[in-house]
Amino acid sequence: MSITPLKQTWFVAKTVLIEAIRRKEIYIVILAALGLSWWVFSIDFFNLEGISKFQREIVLQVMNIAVALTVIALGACQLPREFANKTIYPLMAKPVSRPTFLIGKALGVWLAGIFVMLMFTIIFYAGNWYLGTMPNNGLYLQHFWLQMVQCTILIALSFILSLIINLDAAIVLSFLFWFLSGTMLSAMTIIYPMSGAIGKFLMKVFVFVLPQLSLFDLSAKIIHSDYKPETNTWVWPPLEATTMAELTLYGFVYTAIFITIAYILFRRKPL
Amino acid sequence: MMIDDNRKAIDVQGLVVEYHNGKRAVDSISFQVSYGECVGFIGVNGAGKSSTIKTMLGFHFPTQGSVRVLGLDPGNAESRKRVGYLPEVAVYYPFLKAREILELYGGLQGLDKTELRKRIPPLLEELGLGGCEETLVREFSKGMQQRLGIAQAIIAQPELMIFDELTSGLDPLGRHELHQVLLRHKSQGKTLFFSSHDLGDVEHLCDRIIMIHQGKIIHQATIAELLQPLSEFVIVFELPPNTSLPDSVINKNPTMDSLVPGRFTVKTRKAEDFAQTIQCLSGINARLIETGNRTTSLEDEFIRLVHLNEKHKQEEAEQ
Repeated sequence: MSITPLKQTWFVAKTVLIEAIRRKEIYIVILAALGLSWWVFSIDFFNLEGISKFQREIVLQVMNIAVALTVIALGACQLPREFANKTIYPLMAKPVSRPTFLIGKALGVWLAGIFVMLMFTIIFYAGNWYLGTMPNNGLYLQHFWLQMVQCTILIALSFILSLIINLDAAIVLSFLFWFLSGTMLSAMTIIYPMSGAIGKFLMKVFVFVLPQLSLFDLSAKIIHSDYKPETNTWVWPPLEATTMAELTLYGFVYTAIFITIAYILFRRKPL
Repeated sequence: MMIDDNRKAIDVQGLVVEYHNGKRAVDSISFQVSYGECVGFIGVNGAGKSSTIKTMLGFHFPTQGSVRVLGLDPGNAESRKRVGYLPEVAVYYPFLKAREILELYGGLQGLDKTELRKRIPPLLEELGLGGCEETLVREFSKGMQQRLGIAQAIIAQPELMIFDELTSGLDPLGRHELHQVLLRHKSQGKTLFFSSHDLGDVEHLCDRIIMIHQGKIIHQATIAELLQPLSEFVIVFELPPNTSLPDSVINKNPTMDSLVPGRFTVKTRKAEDFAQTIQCLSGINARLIETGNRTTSLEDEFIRLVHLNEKHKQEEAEQ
């Protein structure tokens, strides 16, 4: 009777995934996004040319928000729910180490995030088919992956926050972090030249210490990457493999740091 | 005295557990449980039972003292592999099926799929959950959840079973079925340590009990030691007018009835004292109202010990 930590991680993750799929919350998010997407795709502004780009951009943004919100909400409630329902006791009474438990939980939420993203992909492609457009598949696949890398950071962050503040606050703060990280960078490029020394320093800290989640968003590239039949190329080709590897590494380094912080907080926490 | 903790399933020495708010839940307790022993851990709500048990599983960390489970540290993965634990309030993942719950907990303890498929149906059947394998846990009653909790605790056939509030939520039939299951495990030489508010469970299953009150152990005894003095002989009699109590009866500390003048009660634990008192009373023509053997329940003894402990504490505080 021996079991590897990897197998234990999978057992914990599978439980999270099954629970997430069988609960109704996830479908409410998907249905809301589906409704919104359907409405956006059905808008016709006096046969304006290029409207499909606007429509697809909105749908992609809805997808990004919904996926981020899903993994944040799922991630933030994992540990508090374990404590509130006392399900943590029989689980931790088994030979499961605390890091294995945490990683298993994170993996489960991440897999649930992939499930949601897959649902949205079906909606997005169905909308594209309806509009008679076709996104750059390679670029979309890269966007899918980078969104999933971003999700690992958000899950780890929501774990940290759920261990130090209450569940609602953890969800709000994590979401705020995602939102600001996505918008602050573009704002800072404008503000930076006009700022003083302290302002510049703080902005550098912001850029180099906190993860820049806007790097994981290829929505604009997907929308504006038109196909050029004459050259059989796309306006925006998929990213270089090395760029993808660097972005993945960048995301996973932050995830590793955040998971380590969560583990330090969870390590000596009395159950 | 050197204690060979390798020979003890549980060894608790000078354990103190304090919470962050400074509240001392467990106050320097020591006890041991031998392999194959069945020990009941009893106390009122807030006595420190769950805190002790949680420390034994590595959920809480001792402020002082030490805890060894199966000769290992409580949080040690090796010891947890060999321990089955039932938490105080059994709540399981509501959106998982009973089979999935047991696959999860059994799998975490190292059972492979084939073994789990072999063990789950008879185990659920044994615990009165036959046919519920594919039912979501959210549809289970409290009693069914408790049975499922016991199933997850024993699925890997652990050497040591630690149950917090053993029969919580179970009806009398469920309780009886559980007793049969546990007695079978006990006969296989498994060690059982449990807390319960139902002293019937304790009396029925245990070899020994440990009583805890306000974080301190107030009594430890085998069931035989505890129950033997709980049986006593009672003589209720009335003295004839103008007769005084003989010295041999006074020595037995008779209590005077407050409602009926001249009526007394003598209680004794020894059969020879009982016979001697009857003989003495018939010698002075006392009228015997009632004679017989009364057995005080474990519950009465527990309440008596708790009250005695509180009285001692009060006296100490007054001094």
